[in-house]
Amino acid sequence: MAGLTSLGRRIGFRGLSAAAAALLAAPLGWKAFAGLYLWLSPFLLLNSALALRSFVELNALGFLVLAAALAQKRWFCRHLCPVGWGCDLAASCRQRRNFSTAGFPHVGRWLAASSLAASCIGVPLFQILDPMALFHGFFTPLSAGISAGALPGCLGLPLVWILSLWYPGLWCSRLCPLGGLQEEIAPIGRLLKPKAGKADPASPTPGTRRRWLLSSLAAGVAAALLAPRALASKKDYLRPPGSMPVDRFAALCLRCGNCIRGCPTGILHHHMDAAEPISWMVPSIRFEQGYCLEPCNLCSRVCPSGAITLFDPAAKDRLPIGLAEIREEECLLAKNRECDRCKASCRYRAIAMTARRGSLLTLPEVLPKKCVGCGACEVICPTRAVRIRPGPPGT
Amino acid sequence: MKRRNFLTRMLAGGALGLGAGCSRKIEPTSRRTEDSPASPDSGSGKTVREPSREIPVLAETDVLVIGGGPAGVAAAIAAARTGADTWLVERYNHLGGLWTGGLVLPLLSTHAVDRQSRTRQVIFGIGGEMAGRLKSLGMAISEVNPVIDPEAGKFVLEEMIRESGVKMLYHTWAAQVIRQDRTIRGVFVESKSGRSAILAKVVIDCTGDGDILHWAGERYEVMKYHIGLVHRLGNIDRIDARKPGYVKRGIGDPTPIPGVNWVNMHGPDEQDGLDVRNLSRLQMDFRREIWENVQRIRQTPGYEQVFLLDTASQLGVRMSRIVEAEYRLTLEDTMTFREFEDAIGVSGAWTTMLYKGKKVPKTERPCWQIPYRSLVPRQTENLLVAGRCFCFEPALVEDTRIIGTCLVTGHGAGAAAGLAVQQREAVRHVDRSRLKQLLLRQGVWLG
Ligand SMILES: Cc1cc2nc3c(=O)[nH]c(=O)nc-3n(C[C@H](O)[C@H](O)[C@H](O)COP(=O)(O)OP(=O)(O)OC[C@H]3O[C@@H](n4cnc5c(N)ncnc54)[C@H](O)[C@@H]3O)c2cc1C
Ligand code: SF4
Repeated sequence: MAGLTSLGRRIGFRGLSAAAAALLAAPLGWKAFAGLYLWLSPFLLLNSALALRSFVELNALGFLVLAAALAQKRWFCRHLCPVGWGCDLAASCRQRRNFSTAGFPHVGRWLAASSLAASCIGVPLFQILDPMALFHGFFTPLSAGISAGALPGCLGLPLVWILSLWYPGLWCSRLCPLGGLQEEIAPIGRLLKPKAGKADPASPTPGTRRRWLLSSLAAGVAAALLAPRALASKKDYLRPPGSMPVDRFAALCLRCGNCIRGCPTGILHHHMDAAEPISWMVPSIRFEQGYCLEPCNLCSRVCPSGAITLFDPAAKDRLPIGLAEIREEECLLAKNRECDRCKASCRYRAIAMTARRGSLLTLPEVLPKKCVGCGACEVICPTRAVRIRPGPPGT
Repeated sequence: MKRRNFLTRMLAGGALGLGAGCSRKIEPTSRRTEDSPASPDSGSGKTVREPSREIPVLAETDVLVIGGGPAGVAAAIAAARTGADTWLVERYNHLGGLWTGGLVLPLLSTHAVDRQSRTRQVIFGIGGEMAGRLKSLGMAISEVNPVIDPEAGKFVLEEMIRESGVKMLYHTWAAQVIRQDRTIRGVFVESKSGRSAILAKVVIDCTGDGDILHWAGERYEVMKYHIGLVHRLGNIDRIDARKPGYVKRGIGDPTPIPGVNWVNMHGPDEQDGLDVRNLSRLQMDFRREIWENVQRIRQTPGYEQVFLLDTASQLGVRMSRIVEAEYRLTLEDTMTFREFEDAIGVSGAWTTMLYKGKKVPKTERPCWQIPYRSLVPRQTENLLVAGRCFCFEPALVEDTRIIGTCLVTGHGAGAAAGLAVQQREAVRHVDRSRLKQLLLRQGVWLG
């Protein structure tokens, strides 16, 4: 019994929280609850809410944590953060006492402020550095397999933890934007409390504070103004239904891999295009083993950034992924073989079989007004005569 | 102070900007309207009354099978082998239906994957016997999904009918049923000998189009699908590919006869297979198209000797009626090794399918059991349905309308009809375990 309690104390509530986060991040069929911890991060919440000027129900979790962080400084870091728990564990392993973060700049606070400023203009600049995003990126290979596309994403978490071996506390107190955000809002929390406390001795002097603010504001706004050009990918690729237009998608996507883990038919992969590093690791669709299932909207439910807009499955016929294209010369029917698969597989009735006058042939034809690019026809076509081409931007 | 102002404002602004009603979700617009089905053309709309008259009874029998396609032949033989007196009625001059008369030569879905993930033969019983006999005559190409010679098919099926003691009526159309409450006493038929009646204890509808179940007042859905006309080309072995000007042309696929190919035709979609004027129009259009196409082939250097051997004597109606029976077989059943206590046989898979959003390649598809209930229509006490009009969900059509499946459902229906006669029971109450034992004795594989 005593052993158990001491074990419990050693693991602590944050350890349990880390275990829960890892379980929820693992591909165990959590459906809409997959990657729940992403929704707890107020940094992600504010970035997406400011950038998109809207929110979804699950954002309530982020608001709760935000409120808690106002009540108690760094509430999330203290009680929930699985990344911080790992950092502390790493630090305790090496017991390196002679390192101090004191002289180190508050990069995290700067990242938080400038990212939120940029979000107001629509570009959530540094949200991919959010610890929850890094944490979930790490789990992606479990379901999506290791690929060059997913590699950078799964390296973030180990890097942070390795850093803590040599520089204990550096990530949490100085680099992490989520930690930074909580520090930034702490003064508001003190204001709200009935007895306003004294200024935090660790906080910078008013002069530096002003410079801080100005620099982060200016940098965020400048970056956000420049970013649309730099962050916009030009080449379209197949993205989940309800995705933001391609020129905003790469900037909004967190690379958390939630949608990729969630997709029941496994069609989502980490995008890799050497010519466009900016869209590296965002989800893109490959119709190899499956297609976009008609009654499913899971990717949009688990997307914490809003890069994929939450949609009702019944609205799917208005959310094209792309448009089917048939190379007739490859079609089995052009060779008088028995086939009807593309048409039969289409729930949107977007393929018609049309008889060609003057020959014996009846060939499939895509009706562009009905086609949503769900990919059923591409997957089922035995000769790969059907391909989905990226179509008009979603919403 | 300033920073706090900034943050406060930002948060407040954000909250305002979000405000109520800024929830982010794309809702559906209006319901999608279904494509309205074309209204059937009912001809001139005029009617005349047929005077009532006495009809001679041609025969009284235990089991009456209408339609001599793959399903009908298997059904008649299976029933006769139970000792039942059995008649088989066919409107044309041959057995085998679309398989032979329709020149649809590949017997598909003979194989599939079993529970141990091994690919194995699944079609046994009377269908298996047919394939075996054709193979031993050298008239079937390949073991898996064999392609047969149509004349050999007609011959072998007819020999098997002879041996089983089934009484055969060619050149005879079933024209109407003789209904009495929830049973049918028999079927009116038309032929050179005029109208006559065949009375039977159990009737099996193997017309492919479900003519009998329609007259019996059963419920069904109509599926409009592709209709085509298959033809054969001769002298394929005399094509000279070295001739200047030679180009590769579509000339179909080999048959067991050297130099003879069969050429499939998918044909136009959404065709009504129950409208005789449509069938006649298609027949004429197809014949002309085939003729012109063969002429184009013959004018191609190297192809001069190729000729049109024949067009199929049966128009290729793939689907029409699907009966509403006691059980509707589903895609899920066929994908999950669903076991039925009333299984009458197992069929195979010849095509890749989509299931739950994922592709299941044909080489990995499970074999699937067919329950007896999917052959038993809801109302009539003594009617069974086999062949391409038994009860399944349309997503399954590519597997259920196939010759292999038709042979299995035919065999099951025939054996059950024989048993119903023996037990003097409505077909719906046939003892399932006795049916199972009977089928096993008759060589059927039940999985
Ligand atoms: C063009 C085409 C290509 C196909 N390709 C293949 C293939 O490659 N492989 C495969 O396995 N399957 C294929 N099929 C499907 C398969 O051939 C048929 O579905 C199968 O033969 C159906 O068998 P059945 O016994 O149910 O009906 P049918 O074969 O249609 O037989 C019904 C019989 O009943 C007779 N009949 C109908 N009505 C009456 C009546 N009122 N009175 C008396 N007799 C009547 C008909 O003359 C016919 O002989 C194809 C079908 C078509 C049309
Ligand atoms: S699935 Fe492919 S081969 Fe089959 S009809 Fe469609 S395009 Fe042709």
